Amino acid sequence: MMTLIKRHTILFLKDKTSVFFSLLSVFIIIVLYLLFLSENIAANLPKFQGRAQFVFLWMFAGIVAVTTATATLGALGKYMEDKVSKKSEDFLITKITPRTLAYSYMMYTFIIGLVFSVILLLVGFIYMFIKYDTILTISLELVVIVLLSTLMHMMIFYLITSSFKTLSAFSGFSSIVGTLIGFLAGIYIPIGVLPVFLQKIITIFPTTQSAVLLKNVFMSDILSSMSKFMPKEVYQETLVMLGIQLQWNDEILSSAFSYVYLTGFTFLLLVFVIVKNKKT
Amino acid sequence: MLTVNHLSKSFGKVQAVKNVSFNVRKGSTFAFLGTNGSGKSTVIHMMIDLLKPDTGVISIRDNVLLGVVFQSHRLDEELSIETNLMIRAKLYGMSTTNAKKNIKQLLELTNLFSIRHRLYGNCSGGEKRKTDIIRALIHRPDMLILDEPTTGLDAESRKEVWTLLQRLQREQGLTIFLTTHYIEEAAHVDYVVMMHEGEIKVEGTPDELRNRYAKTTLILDVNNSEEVKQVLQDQVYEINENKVYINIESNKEAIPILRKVEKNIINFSIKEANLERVFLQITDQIKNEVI
Repeated sequence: MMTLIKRHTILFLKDKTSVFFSLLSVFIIIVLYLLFLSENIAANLPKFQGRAQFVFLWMFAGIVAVTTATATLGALGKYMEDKVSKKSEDFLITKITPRTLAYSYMMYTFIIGLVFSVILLLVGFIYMFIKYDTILTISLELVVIVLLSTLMHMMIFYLITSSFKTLSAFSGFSSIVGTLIGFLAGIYIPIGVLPVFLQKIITIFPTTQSAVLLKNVFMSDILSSMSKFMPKEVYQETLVMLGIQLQWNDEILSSAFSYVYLTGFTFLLLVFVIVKNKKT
Repeated sequence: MLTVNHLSKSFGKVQAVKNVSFNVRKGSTFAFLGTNGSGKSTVIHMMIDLLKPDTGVISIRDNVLLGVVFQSHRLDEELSIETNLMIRAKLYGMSTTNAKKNIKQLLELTNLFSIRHRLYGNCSGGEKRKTDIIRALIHRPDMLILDEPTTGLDAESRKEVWTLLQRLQREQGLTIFLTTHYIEEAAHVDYVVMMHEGEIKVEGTPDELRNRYAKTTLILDVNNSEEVKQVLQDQVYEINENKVYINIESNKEAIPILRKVEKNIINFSIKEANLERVFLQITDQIKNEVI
């Protein structure tokens, strides 16, 4: 298993195009942020000290959530390539079982997703320190969210891509995910400005739950200082508008709900994966 | 060493393999001939357990290890020859020391040791094929299964691959099972099975098949067919306009015939009995039966 994981990882990292495309959505979000997103978001907020920092952290949480998705999907490209070129057959004539092979691709995908997310976190932390003289800490909560989000996206995309027969089907799917994920995770446009039915779709989308939890972790300090000087209604409205808190009809969804949602969804996926791999 | 009994496999409505049976003896070279789509690769995939047969049994003697060379290259282009081989060795559960020892021996045997650090993707077709063969031999199998091992190779590389296979069989007593559509490559094997549309049509040693299905033919271009008919009264022949066809057992048999008809011929040629003619004869027969 370790030999296979190492092999998949080396080959993925050697393929610079795959690495680039798995992070393309992240690059697009950063460029959009620099061009106009940060100004647009800031314009919707009352003036206060640390507003730029607030906007950066809001976007950064979204980027990390998106990375746990796109990096895992990008890594699964190797799995698809091996399947289409029948390299998998060459492994299966050794002592490797189809199940071990399947889990090797999953483990490798999880590792790539995790490593890319950690690298991105470090870059963000350094940027925060240089630009805003603020030190973000790696809390247990942050580690749990990143692990859970990466695990969940890895399994979602593994289950979907394992049904593909061609590389073009995979490429098409990757393009759709890359294009939509920024919207669905509520990064391009604040959730609050969208129609209610779209808000509900976005709320159901699991990446949104990761993004919400990350926003709460990164922005806890700044939110607590905001709550002190902002009128309560305005503060609450801002949180819902920017998707820092999700709303279902009139009900505000708590962080606990997001944790339960993510954990439950991940557990369900795990059951599907185990059943699927048992059949292989 | 390996026995296949009444093997059948269908893909949807297409029956790819129909009631195929054969036996591969230890230490022999066994060739599976057939056109593209005749079911050869499907049989191999069932032999190595990548496909389940619909019916039939494949029995492999206990402790017999199989090594496989697939038709298309399956190693990683972005990794060196040595790394590719090391990964496969590990997947067979070999220790690093054993794997290194085996890889070194096989690289030396195939003259690839000096280019072991070269990326597999930068190797020539012949070098890639030899690496594929090493990969198949890395765990010291008793039987090597090769699916179209020389397809896409130039004449020189084909020769190199064959020399290597013959050497492996001679020196290591390896049993070799191969499929090919280069019919003449099977001329030197021990046993031949010819497949067509999923069925075994004929089988036997190359000599048996040549004797049974294709004769060496002496072809005479004659200037006067009537006179030739007179001269060849005691001979069995076929005549078609100014060409006379006489089946002979060996080239030597042509000499007395040529002496007899010396004055009446413009030219002559000898068409050797070979496996390609056997194959064409069989496929022609099948086509005629269908018509």
